[in-house]
Amino acid sequence: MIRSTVLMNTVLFVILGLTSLSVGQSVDATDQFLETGQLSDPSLEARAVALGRTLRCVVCANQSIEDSEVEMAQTLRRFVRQRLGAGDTEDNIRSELIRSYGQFVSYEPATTGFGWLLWVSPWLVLVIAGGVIFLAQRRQRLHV
Amino acid sequence: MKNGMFGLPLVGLLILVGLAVWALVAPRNLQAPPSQLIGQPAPGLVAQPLAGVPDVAASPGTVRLVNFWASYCVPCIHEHGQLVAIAEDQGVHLTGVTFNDQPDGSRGFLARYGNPFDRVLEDSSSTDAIAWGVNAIPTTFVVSANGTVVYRHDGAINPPELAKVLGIIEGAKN
Repeated sequence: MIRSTVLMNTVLFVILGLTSLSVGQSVDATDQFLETGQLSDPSLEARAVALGRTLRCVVCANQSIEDSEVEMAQTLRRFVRQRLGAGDTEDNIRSELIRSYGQFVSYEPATTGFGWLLWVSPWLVLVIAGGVIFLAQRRQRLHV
Repeated sequence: MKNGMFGLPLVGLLILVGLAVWALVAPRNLQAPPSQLIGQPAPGLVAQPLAGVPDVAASPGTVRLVNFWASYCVPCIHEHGQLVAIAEDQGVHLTGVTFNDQPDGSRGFLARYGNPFDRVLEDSSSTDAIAWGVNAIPTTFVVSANGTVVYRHDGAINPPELAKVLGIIEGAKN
């Protein structure tokens, strides 16, 4: 009788120990996330939102993953938060998504190929406009 | 010359207005963009096998069909018969990857409609779905004998499309 009580206590002790261990692990695993799916760290959440606004929901009509409620956008929002929570950088996350979904997923044009022209074009327009104004004024001065 | 100076901005303005009008009236392509994986080595699958269903690894050099699905997905039900037909081809290994699904739901689905898969993975973090560029479910990939992704099928493989997919699988064996 005493032996079976000791055995039972030992089994209970082990079960309680394992339960508390697993509860501890699950708290650690979900600690970063609020029930809403947002990150509990406000600065990390702000980074996730900023990044998400520059990532296109690939199955939506011109909406970012932060703006869309379709399942794929929700999945990508969660992915971004998991990766940022794990210490990954915005550039790495964007690169990974571009590798999977193509440049289309990013609202920020690439700095290579045609994308390079998009980055440079505002400055190019400014230089051309400045040149035209400069030439027009010089011509005007010469005629006066 | 003076006219030329005024004409240039006017031409620019007309081009901009033309582009804006074109953007408004042009038919929009809301289809998913083409897969980035075609012709590339298939990404590894990191999800864990779904407990309680048979799990057979693919032999080296086998053509693989990777199907992303979920028990709550109605088109997946319509597609299932075609997957069962594909599974009858002994030369292809079928991997099913569940997408945002509950394990019990996935198991229930397979118990009800049959299990054509050699291996079922539970992609609870969607890591595999994202690595494979999945936009929606069901999505199916054919991976050739040398491990290259040769085909992506967006949406359900409907009965009229079965012959085409079987042909692609056959071609991927060589």
